[in-house]
Amino acid sequence: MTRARPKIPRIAWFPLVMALALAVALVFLTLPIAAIFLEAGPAELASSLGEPQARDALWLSLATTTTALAIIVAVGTPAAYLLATRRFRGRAALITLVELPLVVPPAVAGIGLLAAFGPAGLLGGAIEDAGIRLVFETAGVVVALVFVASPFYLRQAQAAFEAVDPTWTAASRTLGAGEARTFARVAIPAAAPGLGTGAALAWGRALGEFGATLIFAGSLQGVTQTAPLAIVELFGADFDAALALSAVLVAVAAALLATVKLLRGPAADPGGDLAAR
Amino acid sequence: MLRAELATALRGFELRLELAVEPGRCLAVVGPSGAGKSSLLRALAGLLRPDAGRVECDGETWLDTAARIDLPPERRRCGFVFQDYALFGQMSAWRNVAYGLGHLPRRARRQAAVELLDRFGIATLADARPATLSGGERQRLALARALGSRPRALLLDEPLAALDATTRATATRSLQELTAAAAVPALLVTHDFVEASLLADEIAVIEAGELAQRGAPETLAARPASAFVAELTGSVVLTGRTTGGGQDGETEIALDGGGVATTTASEVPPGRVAITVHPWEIALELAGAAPHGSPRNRLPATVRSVTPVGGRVRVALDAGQPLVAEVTAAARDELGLRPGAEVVAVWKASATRIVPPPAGRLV
Repeated sequence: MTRARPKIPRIAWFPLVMALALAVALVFLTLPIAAIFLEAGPAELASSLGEPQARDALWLSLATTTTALAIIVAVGTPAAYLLATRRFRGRAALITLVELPLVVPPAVAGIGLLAAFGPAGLLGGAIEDAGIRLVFETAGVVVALVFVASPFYLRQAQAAFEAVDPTWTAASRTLGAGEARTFARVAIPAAAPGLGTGAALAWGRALGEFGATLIFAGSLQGVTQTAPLAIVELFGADFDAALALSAVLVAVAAALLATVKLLRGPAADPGGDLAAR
Repeated sequence: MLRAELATALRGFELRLELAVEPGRCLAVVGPSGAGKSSLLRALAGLLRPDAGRVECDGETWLDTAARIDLPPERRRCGFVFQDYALFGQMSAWRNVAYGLGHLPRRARRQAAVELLDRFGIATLADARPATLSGGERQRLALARALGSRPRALLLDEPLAALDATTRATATRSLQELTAAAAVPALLVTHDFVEASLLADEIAVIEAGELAQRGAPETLAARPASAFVAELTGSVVLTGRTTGGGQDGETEIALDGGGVATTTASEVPPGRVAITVHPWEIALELAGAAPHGSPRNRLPATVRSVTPVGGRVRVALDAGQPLVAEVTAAARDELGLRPGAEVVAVWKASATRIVPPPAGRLV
């Protein structure tokens, strides 16, 4: 008779490694965020936000990102629907072109915008003749935001429309609805959570936009100086004010993330679609 | 009157069909999966453009590829009942129905939608979302929605396939209510001959993209034009070769798996043939038992499975070729039928019908 050797209890070492890795990541990722709130007390926060420069920057950020988002949604939704529902030659190449701004460095985006829409750019003459000024103007900020943020919305919206059951749109057509009514009454409501996520991601990207705006529109207080640009300028002179403004941006971003999570349901993985790209 | 003449290339074969359906009549197109049945419905509804063809309804041309006429689905207005019903998940039941009521003023739509739901016995579910309904309720909602859109033709894609056996009886009545109320040409596609015979006045069987036989359900079951049609109607199909033998007025066929079948059919072609027998015309005896009665066909076989279906029992047999007998539960108990039992399948010479052999099988 051979007896099995008494088993030495084995240490489950891999779960420990995983837990340790997660702990390191968690501390590293949350510490800077927490520090902003710890360093900027409520009193400093209130007084700093009373500064006209901070107020102007926040207000401008709100106005320009909202305008940019409205343009992105208005143009992006039908464009994404077309990409999602039609198969045509060169579709894959077109989608790649539309996604290009995602990987272009923001500074390069700013240079590109100047080369296209700047006074000496490709369309500079035409834009000037139309009486529109972009460089060093609020409108220029919106142009930069639309450029960098719209791929986030387009990508999500296209995926959301592709996930709509094609028999729903077919049923809508046989029930007497044309393509436009089918789009508005069936496809958009069915894709709404995905469209909401795309809009939130685009807005988040626009809110943090820095490089392209600085190069294309400059950093003029009250005209083109959005919150991230103001933080950079304040940082040299008044660290507390920069902290306070940062705290506000963090709060807004956190609210945005929570909204996205709620829209996608509890089991959803935020940014999963982006990671899968 | 709905008339169609379509030709379109599908995976591996070409679908070529010509059909006409009178208002108030229901034609079932029956064929195996992948035979192009759904493509046919989509082409009629305007959801898919066939390579060539003409479709007209009520004298209006919906499609004429030669004349470059192709009306969009919303102008053809077919009441399309999809296999999975395609109910709009984000809308309540009554809003699903109201979606097709665009011809009514906005304020009248809820009332009209609830009346339609009532017609199918689900008015109390007007505010429920489709996801919360049972399979049978979803089917009735889909029928109410199709009827509400004032369809000019009804197109039904396997309308009973998603339902369990207990719901099928009521669902069949609901479908009969729909086709009667709409009083327009109705076209049903299915792979299930039973479903087709329950709902349709006439059945068209398609095989490899072409019409194999068209007729009343009883005609197809009684006189299948091919082995394919016979198999579809649930008949046993055995292949073999005509021999010279046989008594007066009878012909003998040597079966491929061994054994001989006898038929009283006249004009049996020489060479390869297929025979068909209805499963309920086949009786079973235990092997070695003294034969009783005079049936001319006696084929030794092994029982493979014994399955109760309704009040009867289906017995799958292996006699070199597979065949099925349908017997009473009493006969099963008396013979002690179970898998592995050796039996003799017995049927009359007059029950053996001759059809052309299945295409594509060698030997």
